[in-house]
Amino acid sequence: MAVDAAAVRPGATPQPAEPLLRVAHVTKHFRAGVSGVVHAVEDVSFDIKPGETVGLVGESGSGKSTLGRVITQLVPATSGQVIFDGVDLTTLRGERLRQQRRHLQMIFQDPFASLDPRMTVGDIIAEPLVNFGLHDHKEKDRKVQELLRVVGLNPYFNNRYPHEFSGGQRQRIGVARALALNPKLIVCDEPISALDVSIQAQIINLLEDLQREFNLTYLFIAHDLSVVRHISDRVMVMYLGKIVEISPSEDLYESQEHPYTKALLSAIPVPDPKIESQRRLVELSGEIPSPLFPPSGCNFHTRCPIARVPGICADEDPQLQEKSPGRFAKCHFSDEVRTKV
Amino acid sequence: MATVVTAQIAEEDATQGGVLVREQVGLWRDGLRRLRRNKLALAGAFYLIFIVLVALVAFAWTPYKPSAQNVCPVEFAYADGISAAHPFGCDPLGRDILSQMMQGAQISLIVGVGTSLIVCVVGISVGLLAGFSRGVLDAVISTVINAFYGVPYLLLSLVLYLVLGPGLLTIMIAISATSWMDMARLVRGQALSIREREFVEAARASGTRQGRILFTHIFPNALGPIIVQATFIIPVAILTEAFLSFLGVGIRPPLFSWGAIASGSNTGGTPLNLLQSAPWIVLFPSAALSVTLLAFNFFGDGLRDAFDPRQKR
Amino acid sequence: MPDITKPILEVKNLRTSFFTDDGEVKAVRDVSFDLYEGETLGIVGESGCGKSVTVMSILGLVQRLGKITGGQVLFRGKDLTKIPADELRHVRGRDIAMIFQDPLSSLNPVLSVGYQIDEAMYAHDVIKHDDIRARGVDLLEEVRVPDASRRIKDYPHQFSGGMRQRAMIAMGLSNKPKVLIADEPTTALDVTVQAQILELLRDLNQNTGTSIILITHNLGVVAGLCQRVIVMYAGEIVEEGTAEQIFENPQHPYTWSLLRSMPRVDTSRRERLKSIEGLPPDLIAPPPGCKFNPRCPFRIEQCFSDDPTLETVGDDDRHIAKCWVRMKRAYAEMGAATLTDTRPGAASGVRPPKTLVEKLEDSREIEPDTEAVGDLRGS
Repeated sequence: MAVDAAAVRPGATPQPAEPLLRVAHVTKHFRAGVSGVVHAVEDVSFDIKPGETVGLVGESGSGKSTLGRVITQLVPATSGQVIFDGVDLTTLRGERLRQQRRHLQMIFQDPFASLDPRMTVGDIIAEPLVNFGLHDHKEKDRKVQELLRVVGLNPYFNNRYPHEFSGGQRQRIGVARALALNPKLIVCDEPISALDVSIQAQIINLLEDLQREFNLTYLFIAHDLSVVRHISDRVMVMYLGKIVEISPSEDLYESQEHPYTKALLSAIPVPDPKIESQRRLVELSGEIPSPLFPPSGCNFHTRCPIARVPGICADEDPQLQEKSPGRFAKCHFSDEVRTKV
Repeated sequence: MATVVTAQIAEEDATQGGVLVREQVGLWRDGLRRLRRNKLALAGAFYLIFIVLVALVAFAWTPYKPSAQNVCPVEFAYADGISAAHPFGCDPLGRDILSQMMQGAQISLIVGVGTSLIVCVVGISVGLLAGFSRGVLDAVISTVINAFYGVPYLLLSLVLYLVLGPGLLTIMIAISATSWMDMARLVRGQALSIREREFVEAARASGTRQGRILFTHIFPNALGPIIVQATFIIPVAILTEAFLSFLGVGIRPPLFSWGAIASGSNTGGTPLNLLQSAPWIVLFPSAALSVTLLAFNFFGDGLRDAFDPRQKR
Repeated sequence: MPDITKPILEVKNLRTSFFTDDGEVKAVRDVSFDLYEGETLGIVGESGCGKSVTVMSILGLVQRLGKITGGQVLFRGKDLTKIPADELRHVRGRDIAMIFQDPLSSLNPVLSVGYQIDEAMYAHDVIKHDDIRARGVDLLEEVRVPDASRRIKDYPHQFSGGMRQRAMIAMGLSNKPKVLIADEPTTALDVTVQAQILELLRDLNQNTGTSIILITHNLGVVAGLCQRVIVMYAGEIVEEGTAEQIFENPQHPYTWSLLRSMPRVDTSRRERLKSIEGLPPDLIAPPPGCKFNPRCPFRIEQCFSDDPTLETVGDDDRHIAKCWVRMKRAYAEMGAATLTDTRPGAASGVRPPKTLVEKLEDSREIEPDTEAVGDLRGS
């Protein structure tokens, strides 16, 4: 599914037909209490091609971080497949799964929590290398210094501890760690949302530079649509465990196929008082329902401005369908989004 | 500026700039610095150093042999007790209390530190195992821990005393057997919470093996509270030893511990009539015990403050 | 409409420091500004720039190691830094209300939301006690909590993040304050909820005439709500003006850079973001001269030695900036319009003076090294 017809970024390698990552019908339920079930991720499918950046955007509680962790197998999927480079990760356990991690790395949201405070920066960055027995002692130091240089840090910082660095610098350390094994895919889980505005751009630029240099593929998770749109070739919008829209990021601002995407876009403040004064907010009624009790039918119908309730929206869950080339939406009435929302 | 300023800026490149930052200190050094500022903890530390020195000296030299009788005349001991030759007085058998107390310092420290070590070894292993494995093993271990809380330590000590006979090791085993659970619980809790921290997740994501996660991530990060807990076990052990010896089921002659001296059980007297006839026999060892316990507690409190990140300023 | 002639709150040369083990952190350095009646004022800056400490100082909420070391905060002619604690407590909550970033930790989990709103009113004797109960429901309705009469009995954990923030705003408004200070009120919230809260604040300002100080790091949030904007950097105000002036004609290179560095949803995504290089300075030992000089593409020699003062820009005396160069000159002489290299000194070609370079050890971020990239790929 989700075949992307949109142009890819210039400079990227020619696209082979085979996706690097294929997520097929992945569902993740957590137990809550005695009988409760949190429907964190519900039947999600998409592909990521080599060299591509796919953005995953959603509000808190949308299940985007859980999806990222299911893909990296930090959390096992309840059902579905995560086929990475031809191998279904969900069938692997123990050492065989560990070996696959060489090619699949992750950058975490909180640059303060994601680095072990008792380890030196050098040891943190070298840990992936040590895990796979890739470098002897002398070479390790050299490699760590190279990595530090690549992410724009002083290579002689390797003996320092994380707390000596600012948030932005720490996130660079996290990037260096993810880069150490030369992975094919990096899942970036909100890598800039904990950073100051002036530092965010540095990290985004760094990630873009590294992608070009190392032919990286990113799954970029964020709650900020403007950032996601900037860095991604395609954007996926997630709501309450389901993907509601997939679109080339070029087209996303111009038009939306799902009312939620439109509401999300309309809510993003723009640093320009003139635009702000003319902004028309698409009001969503209420707040995101609990994933413990997702609504029936289309799970957005409780807040949707165009939902037919009672009617098809409350009864029948729409499929993610290709509405126009390369653009997918999960809505019964996506034709009306442009005019009525 | 009072602090050492290591400033920083771009190299020769005119297009680069830099920022000034202070020299940073490591987490441990930072903790030590805070410890140094805590006057009570510092006083406690100095007293403890003194006690350690006394104990060390006692290995090589004491004014008299602690168990040697009649080093001072019996009548003299009861007359006015304290003299230049016997600053802490003598007991009814004519033995020098100072010499006994110097040996008592040894016993206290050996029991305290020894017990703490045993507790650490047992508690840390059990706690890490439970916290890291979770699941069934954790449930079993937690049940065992709770069961041990139900064991009355006096009874256990008496049983061990009968089975193993009197001696230092018996005491240490008895105290450890009833105090390892706190450590195990603490370590288990630490392991459970640290394993959920994001850096552990990050380590897993980069393919770190379970064992390595346990020993290079979880254990070092739990070390601060472990050290604090281990410090607090020492005075508890010392007190328990003194209490057991006071009851006569602990240290026996020819060894002397503070509790044993104060009880007067070595002399055939009871504490009550000793307190009337020769109060120094009870008071000096009791005072030494109290001050030592206080010192350990101050020091332990200081450690806790120093290594509790919420105290950072 | 704001009465721009009548300041309700005057902050004059405020200085606040934190005395830490490492030395004195001068978090607020000589900050002066006025808040006018009925106005919405935005204070923008990165974390650690002193924006929160500034408003905490206004309300005497700086705790532990912090201390106001100078200046005045005049509210209705009274200096809030001088009045007794008891009197200040009455100003807080009655005349000046504050809402915080994290509404969950600001609410007591074991008391119902309604009880806490009532309590805020009982504490200050502004509202007649007989009216308090009814007003609680009115307030929740005013901040658009649906089904207010039922939900007022709920406990904080039964409220969502956005609802909690509404409850906090209701509590803040309960005593009809003259000034509402909102410290990053939407940072913890999702964008759709953020938009609702901002709209609510905008309406409250228009309907009740309450002056609002909005503290945020998000320039977009300010653009939609605030009439006037203060930009802070390293404990100082670096630029101040109307929202239009700040967003359309920024004069301080920091403001200008900040605006350019944000990815915007309404622009083409191809463009590389123009980041601000380097880090904010350490407030214990900031660089000499202008504190932005280590990151500024437009710096000149003077920036390394002399600290500029806030001066008016152009004809309008409401627009002031703290810069030797200013963007007007940067556009005219340094090609700011086409600048893509954002490294320090890139536009002006000015390097730090030799004396400074010698003293300093390099430990900042450096340029990614392309050779190293080659090595890495080979290995």
